[in-house]
Amino acid sequence: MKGIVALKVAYIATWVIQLGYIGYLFSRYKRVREEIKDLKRGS
Amino acid sequence: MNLLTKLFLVLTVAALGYAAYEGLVVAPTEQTMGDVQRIFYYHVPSAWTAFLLFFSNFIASIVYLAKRNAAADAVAAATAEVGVVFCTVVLVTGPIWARPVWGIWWTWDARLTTTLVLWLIYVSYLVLRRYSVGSQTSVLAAALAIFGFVDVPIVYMTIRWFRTQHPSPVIGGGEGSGLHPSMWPPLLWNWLAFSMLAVVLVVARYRLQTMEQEVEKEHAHAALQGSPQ
Amino acid sequence: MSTMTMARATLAKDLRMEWRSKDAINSMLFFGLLVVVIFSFAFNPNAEESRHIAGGLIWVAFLFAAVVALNQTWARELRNQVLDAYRVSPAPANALFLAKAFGNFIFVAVLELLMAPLFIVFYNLRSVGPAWQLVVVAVLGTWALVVNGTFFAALSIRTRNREMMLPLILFPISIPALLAMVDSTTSILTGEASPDFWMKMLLVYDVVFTSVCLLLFESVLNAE
Repeated sequence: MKGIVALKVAYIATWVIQLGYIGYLFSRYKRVREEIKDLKRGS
Repeated sequence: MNLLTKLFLVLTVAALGYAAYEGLVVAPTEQTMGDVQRIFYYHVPSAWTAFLLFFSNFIASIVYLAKRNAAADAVAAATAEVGVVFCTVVLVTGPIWARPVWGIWWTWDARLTTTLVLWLIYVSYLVLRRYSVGSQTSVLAAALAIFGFVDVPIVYMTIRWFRTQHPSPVIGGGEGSGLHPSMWPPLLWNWLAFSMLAVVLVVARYRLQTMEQEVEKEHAHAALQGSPQ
Repeated sequence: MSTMTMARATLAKDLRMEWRSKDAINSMLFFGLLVVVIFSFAFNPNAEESRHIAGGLIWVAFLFAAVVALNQTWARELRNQVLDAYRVSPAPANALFLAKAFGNFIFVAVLELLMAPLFIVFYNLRSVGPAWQLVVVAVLGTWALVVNGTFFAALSIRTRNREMMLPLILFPISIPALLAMVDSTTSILTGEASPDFWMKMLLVYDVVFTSVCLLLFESVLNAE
């Protein structure tokens, strides 16, 4: 792997990981909001 | 999301953008390694941030064991998870850097290996939190967190010694190698930007945790009230 | 009743029960034997190389055998709801912990006393360095595994995936101790380096983690 390619891969990989985590947080938020809505509806 | 939060988010994104510019354009090209060395500006700040996050987890866990308040527990959960994310970045960028420079992916370099063990310890913490049943989760996790963090200096010393017995390339330069003064600004900018990102993520994860705690409490109440006794 | 008296009494009870039923010890001994044989098939070095890799093999084998032993520890307590009885009694929590830890230490030591000669036979091992140092490493190393293992076994019984959980949380924390055990054993066997630093490191590890275990065990036992 040449230097410049490695540099690009490293920076892209970093953002894949960070944005992936942010996406994961969003999906968990969605789930919790739905659960709260269900609870409010139920009680 | 209030105004202050939105402002902080915008500042974080701006900082990350500017820091990347500093690292990729402003920073000088390194003599021996060339442009690939710029990975350093992502690799090192991520490591420092991860370490600070794990330290916060340690403090939060101690506070939780002492005071048993849910906020401390939520902070512990959040900082551990975000810490693992940053730690993953370190472990991924390290080998990507090592490969073109030394032709090998991994060298059991003291700092990278300590990071690997740190990653393993905190992943095991997250696994314990996930699979633990009931209200004891927080206490058990806090205990494990203390063990884990106390282990860190021991791990580092052990691997340092191991490395002096079996030397091999050190990613990012040896202990003695200094940093050229013009490399400090991009390094610090990236550290600032990633620290701000860490704050954003921890706050988000903390809020998520408290929301989930609330939901669980509601479920427990409902179960107690709903079931005919 | 002091902590040590309590600990001794509990330990004596555990050993007596174990001696009468011989459950755990028999299956562990057979497991230990199997591990040595399988390793011998998998890694079949000549006499020269064997001194270099035996340290690693032996300690990995001991580690797996210890995990099997440790998982047993609390299983019996859980079955008879003994843990709840302890929690209610005025006995100090650390007495229970020390008793369990010493009991585990004895079990794992018995295992090692069986497995070590087998390794020596299968690998034609002869130590270049002083063999008494190997005993010191074995004692320090076994305690390092057992003290944390006993604590984490108590943590992991409250999880859904009980048996899997113990190695998952024990192994990462034990890495520096394992490195020390393996490297010191190799240094002693090959005589190529001094094991002093490693042995000191193991001692530090043992002191630090025994203290942490004793400090935190009460909180863990009473977590509800």
